[in-house]
Amino acid sequence: MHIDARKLEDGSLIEGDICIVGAGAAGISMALEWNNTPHKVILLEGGGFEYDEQVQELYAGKTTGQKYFPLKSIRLHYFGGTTGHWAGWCAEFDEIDFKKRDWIPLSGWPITLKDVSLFYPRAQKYVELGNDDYSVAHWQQKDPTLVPLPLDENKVWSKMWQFSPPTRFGTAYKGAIVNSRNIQLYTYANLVDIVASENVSSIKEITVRNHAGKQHKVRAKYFILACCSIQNARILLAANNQAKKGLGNDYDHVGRYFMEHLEIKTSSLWLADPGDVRLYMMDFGTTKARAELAISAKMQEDYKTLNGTSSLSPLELATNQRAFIEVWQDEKDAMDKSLEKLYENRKPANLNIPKGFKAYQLFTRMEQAPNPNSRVTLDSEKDALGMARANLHWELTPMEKNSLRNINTVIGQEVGRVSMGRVKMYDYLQNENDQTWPSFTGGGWHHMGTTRMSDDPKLGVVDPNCKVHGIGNLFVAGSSCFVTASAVNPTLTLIALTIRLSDHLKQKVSNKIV
Amino acid sequence: MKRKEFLQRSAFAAAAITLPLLHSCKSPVSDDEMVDPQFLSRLFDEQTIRKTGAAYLQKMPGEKDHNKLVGLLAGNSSIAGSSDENEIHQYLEEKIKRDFDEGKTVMLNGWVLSVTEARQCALYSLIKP
Repeated sequence: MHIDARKLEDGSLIEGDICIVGAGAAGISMALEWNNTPHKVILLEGGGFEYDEQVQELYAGKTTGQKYFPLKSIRLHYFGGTTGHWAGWCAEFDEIDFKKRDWIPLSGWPITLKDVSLFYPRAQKYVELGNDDYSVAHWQQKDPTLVPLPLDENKVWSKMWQFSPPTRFGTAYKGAIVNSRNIQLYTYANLVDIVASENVSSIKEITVRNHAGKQHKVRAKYFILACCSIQNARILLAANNQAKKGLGNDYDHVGRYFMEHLEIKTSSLWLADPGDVRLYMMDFGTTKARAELAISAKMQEDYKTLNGTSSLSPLELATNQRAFIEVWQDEKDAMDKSLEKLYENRKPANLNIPKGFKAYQLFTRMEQAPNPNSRVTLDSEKDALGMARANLHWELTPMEKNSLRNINTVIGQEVGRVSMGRVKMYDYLQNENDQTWPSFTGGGWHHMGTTRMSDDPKLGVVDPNCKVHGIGNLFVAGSSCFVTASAVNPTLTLIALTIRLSDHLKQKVSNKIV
Repeated sequence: MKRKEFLQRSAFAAAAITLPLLHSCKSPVSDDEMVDPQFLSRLFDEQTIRKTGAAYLQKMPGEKDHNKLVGLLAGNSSIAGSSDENEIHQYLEEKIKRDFDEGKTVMLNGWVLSVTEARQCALYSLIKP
């Protein structure tokens, strides 16, 4: 069922069993997990079914620190959320991502890869990827011409990505949500306040508002925030009438540890007589899967690096490619994340490539170390609905730069060992004492970590089941719960984590073993 | 640049050079064989090899000596006594692979190179400045 909250009588009371705030990848996945159950699901979406400039403006905010994209255009505030412009890249986390790594402070999840990977098959379905797995062997069986580089997998291995169509959740699942008998979708219902019990141990109700001036209350047994990392943090920080520092923020972790993926050109790879490297190439819209060069857990430990992977692009094309951070600086670009825009005015470079060689750019995607100073806070300016805007301070550390250098060094060593090639680091990585970042440093619009998971309430915001510490019926769904960011795009894993949360909640609600 | 051309361009004297480390050598190793980084000579032109070598010597000024470099390249192996060009090249190629395997690399002007091939470039830069 769908209700436009602008058309409800002002001051309406909405009641259900569970209330999911946010109808993006996490919110819609969770709602659908409850479809056709005996429970009444309230799904709140701040926007409508189409892009709306007035609603999108609610996402505007400020950025400080390392240059970043405009906050208004990096997420989408309508039904389907940011899947409205995502590129569809899917890959699984590695085991090392969940482990405590003594060279990375604040690393180590209270759950393991196994706890999440159980849910990858179900997450795959939501992004329309079927049953294909992520091993090179699986894809070689489908196409024997997909051959990995002959490298020692104990040092450098080929990690697979699969490409969702990409699934636009707003289009793909609108019918299922609107036609559901037990899911009630309210559009134009922006959460602006949360009312807790007197001792702030549970949530009594939340307040939603829209530009039509209507304000309503929502009550449920359980509340799940599924609004993306920046917005989840913003909501909790702004709910400060009863908890001065914001809900779930007794120990000052809400909003902190904002993590992006550094996505940046790092080196050129010169391969002698490489043969077919199609396994590593992609034709957007056609390629179903491709590999990137990943560094083994042992190499990460030996070199004390963060987890990252490097993709290969023909150097003639990549040389003159503008960086994301340079292409998308206009707030109006929220709906236009097209390749046409990315490749605008790109001209192939005229390179003097020796006979018998092929040259590629290595473009590295890498986690950043959890950094409490990289954070979302509240701005003094308020949006049109009276909520303080978000302020993002993105901060990097020397570990990121050293890790980029080390990852590309390990790749260089391995291609050298097999007499296949050599790697040449770009200028900004050549001086180990230089910790500055070039102008083309940017991220992949992956926002993670602002309500991080921990066993100990003093060290995070949510527990291993994504429940906000100290508040019995408030949960958070999505990548804001991530402790570390892995090398891979977050969407598949945030959906898997959300399905895990959903199963946990079903167990609580139904008192049955799932 | 072709390998043959590279060898021809090396500035060795026609006579073999007696190396200080080769006490028992019967036929000294020719520097011609030592200075030819086989893989790199396919990738780099002469100027780049020279610049790379100069960059290495800037990092490692203590190795800025012809005899020292040849000694480091030959090591304690029996190759010191060989005059077989193929045997020398094979030895150095294996040494380069081991360097990469053991992480004995150096970054010169951005290039991640084996220490052995860096020394070869350095030797070349001394012979043909």
